[in-house]
Amino acid sequence: MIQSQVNKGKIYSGVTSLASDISVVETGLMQLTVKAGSFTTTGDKRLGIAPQTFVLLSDSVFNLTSDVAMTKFYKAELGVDAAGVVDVLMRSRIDDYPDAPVGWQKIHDIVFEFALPPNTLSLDMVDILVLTVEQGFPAGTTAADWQMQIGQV
Amino acid sequence: MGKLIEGQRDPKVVLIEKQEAKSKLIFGKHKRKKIDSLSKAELDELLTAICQRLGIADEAGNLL
Repeated sequence: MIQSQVNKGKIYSGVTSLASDISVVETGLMQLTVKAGSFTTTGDKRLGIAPQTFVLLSDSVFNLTSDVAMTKFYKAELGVDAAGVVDVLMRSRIDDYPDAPVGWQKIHDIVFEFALPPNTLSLDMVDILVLTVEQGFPAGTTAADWQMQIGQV
Repeated sequence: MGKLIEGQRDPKVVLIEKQEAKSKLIFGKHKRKKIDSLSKAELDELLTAICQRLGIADEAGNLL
């Protein structure tokens, strides 16, 4: 079952430019679909990096499989491939994750690692944490309620 | 759109799992038996499993 809560995938943009309307839905017993949308980074003023918006033009559909004997793990990330196309990369592992394709540049995690027990036939019983970005601050709070992280110079 | 890359099993890990499963079976088979009551074939089997478990013998039972 897909979830996104504070400390479990959901983040607030605060006063930054961070934004995302990319969503993840279960579209079959063992199928996840990452819906088309856009993701805007925070950038970094101190390093002179401007926020960037990446557009995922079409839905990405993934048919997952469980192993007969071993727990299998999956995770997915948004990134840019060698041709400069924004895409979603889903990887699985039992032992170690395979390398990303040559030229792949990760932008952000979209589906956080989750485990499929052996012989899983439906994602309904599996906790799948996904990224969601809410604008501003959690209800009832303002910037003053949150300690600003400014880093060390 | 969307790339799915399924991770492949690490052959070394798979081999270790196989050896562990095999040695568990063998240890289980001889459990609670006195060592001096085992036949030479059983002793060979047990010794091979122990050496494989220690990582000093390969799957065929050759000492490394």
